[in-house]
Amino acid sequence: MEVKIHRLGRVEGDGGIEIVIGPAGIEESRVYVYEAKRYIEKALRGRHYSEVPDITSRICGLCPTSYSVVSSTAIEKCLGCEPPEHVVRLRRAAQLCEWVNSHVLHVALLHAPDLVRFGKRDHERTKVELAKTAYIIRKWSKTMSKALVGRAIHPVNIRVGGLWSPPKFSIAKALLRSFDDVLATAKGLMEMVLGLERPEWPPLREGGTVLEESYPLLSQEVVLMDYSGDAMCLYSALEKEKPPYSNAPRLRYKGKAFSLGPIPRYVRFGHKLRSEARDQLKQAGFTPKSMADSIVIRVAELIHALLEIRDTVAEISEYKVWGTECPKTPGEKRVCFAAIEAPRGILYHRYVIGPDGRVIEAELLPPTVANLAAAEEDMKYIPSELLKSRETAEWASALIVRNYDPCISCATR
Amino acid sequence: MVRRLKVAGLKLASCSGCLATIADALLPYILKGDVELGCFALLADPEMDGVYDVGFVEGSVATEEQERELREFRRRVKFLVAVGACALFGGPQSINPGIAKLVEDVVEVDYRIPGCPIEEWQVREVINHLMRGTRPPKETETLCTECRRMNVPCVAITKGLTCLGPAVMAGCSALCPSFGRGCYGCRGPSPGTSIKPLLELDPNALNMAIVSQEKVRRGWR
Ligand code: SF4
Ligand code: SF4
Repeated sequence: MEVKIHRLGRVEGDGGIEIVIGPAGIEESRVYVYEAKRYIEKALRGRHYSEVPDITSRICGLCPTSYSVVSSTAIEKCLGCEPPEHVVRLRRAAQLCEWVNSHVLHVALLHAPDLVRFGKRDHERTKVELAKTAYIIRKWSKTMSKALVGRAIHPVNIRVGGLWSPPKFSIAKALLRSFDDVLATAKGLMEMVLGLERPEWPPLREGGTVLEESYPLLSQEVVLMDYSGDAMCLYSALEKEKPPYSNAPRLRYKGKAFSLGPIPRYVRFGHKLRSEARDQLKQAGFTPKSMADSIVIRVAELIHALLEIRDTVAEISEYKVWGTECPKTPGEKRVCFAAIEAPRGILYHRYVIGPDGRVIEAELLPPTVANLAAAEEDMKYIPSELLKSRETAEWASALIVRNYDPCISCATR
Repeated sequence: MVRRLKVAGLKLASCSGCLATIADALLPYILKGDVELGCFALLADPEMDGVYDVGFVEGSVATEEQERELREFRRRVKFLVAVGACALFGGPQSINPGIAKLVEDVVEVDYRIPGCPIEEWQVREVINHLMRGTRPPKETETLCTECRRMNVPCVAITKGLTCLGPAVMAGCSALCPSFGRGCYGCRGPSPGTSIKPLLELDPNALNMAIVSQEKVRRGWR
């Protein structure tokens, strides 16, 4: 039997799924990507590096801050003009606002509906509750992004060297007054998600994260399976292959598909999450068993992010300097790179910048190019009883893809 | 009396930023029961299966399949709204020449919402009008007017920065000038203005427009 979802709903971008079921189970599995290529990396060639963060953010409307921040960081590091500590911290807070925005959208509106379906709860009421939760949390974090970096989607206050202007502190601090309500709403979401019946397949897949002292966010070092070290080294060794049915490539390491995002972040570094973000998990005796448990970890990361944002906004105040000046023309060719934890996993950027400061080459590898390969391989873990009917097979294969919260526009760019 | 609207959303070559903004703007209407989602990329099932009162289309047209889909979408929606710089001016992908067509090059458009991304208030305005059977007004204000209204000091005068404000559509609350930088034109040209005088003042002005060059020139004359 062939099961085909021509166009998959509740994911970012334009893609579909096909699985071929034989007597022994899944024989073939494909995630189609129809999304049109926009050739953004090519569009960057010849532009001055200072324009890069505003252009790369347009690759994705769900993780634009990740693009702006990692572009800026990569270029600052190789030009030697890193902004002062408080600016780095503030940009990290903006990045965490994006985790909140993106995670709550995915958890409440895109992923949970798959799981609500088989639970014992009142489905319609649960969906309404989830939508309300998403609205409350997104409103808060989007307003916070607005105060810190201008807006949540395609921020305007992030530049190579730091920020253009100080954040709007009066708005940011005023938002802290409603923080407790938002945190309580997020904890309510955690209760809801822990109460959902989550399948015990597909098993946890090994993967990688950015490597730093704190819960992973932004660095030049990464860890993946047996590799630990410089991101550029690893990414130049990863295998990139574009299957004929997909406009987006697949990324593999030594021939193996791997996962990026909340699961590997939590499996490796869950102990570095704020303890308040782990409390409910401890009480519930939660340990992740399957990729579907990513829904729980996203909420834990969301709570962690909210707490970090609160502390940053409460502790940082008026500074005179909000950025450094970078040399307009570096005078020699430079190779720049950095890796950030976008909500869906490592987003790696590498740029070659000419002596005149113009981009010669850009390579931007979003997490979904790895996760699509992982999702295709995860299909083989769908239990055989679910493969007997078209309806359950469709449900299971769609869930496997949604576990990764794929961002198909990024993957295709 | 207000009408309950069935709303659809189509994604072409784009980033989903406008669709995510539409989602945020529509959530309260959906919860109240005033809006029902039809086929809708990102939020629901994207497969077209009915007719819709309002259809939002995000993105530029980069493939034959997208062209076919857009025509199909047009047949099914009563009021077609092209949203964002991608749909209206080609978007960042049109920095590369020749890969993206505008929505209005393929189908007739009933209303345009500029922005990259569009703003939530613009979506609410369209919905509020259509719910009452009236048409949303056409926007023509430029960013400079918005700076004055918002009391944002002019960055061209006070800081000597290049700013596309005189030729760009208002609506973003003068975002860039309020953060001390010049407008780089993400909302695209305001109808009725021209970029020529600005180019005479600063020949680099058009280079900073990221949604850009050929396509934008058409609107900017
Ligand atoms: S106009 Fe801007 S925000 Fe909207 S889809 Fe295009 S790139 Fe994204
Ligand atoms: S570039 Fe111009 S139109 Fe876009 S947000 Fe900035 S000020 Fe507004």
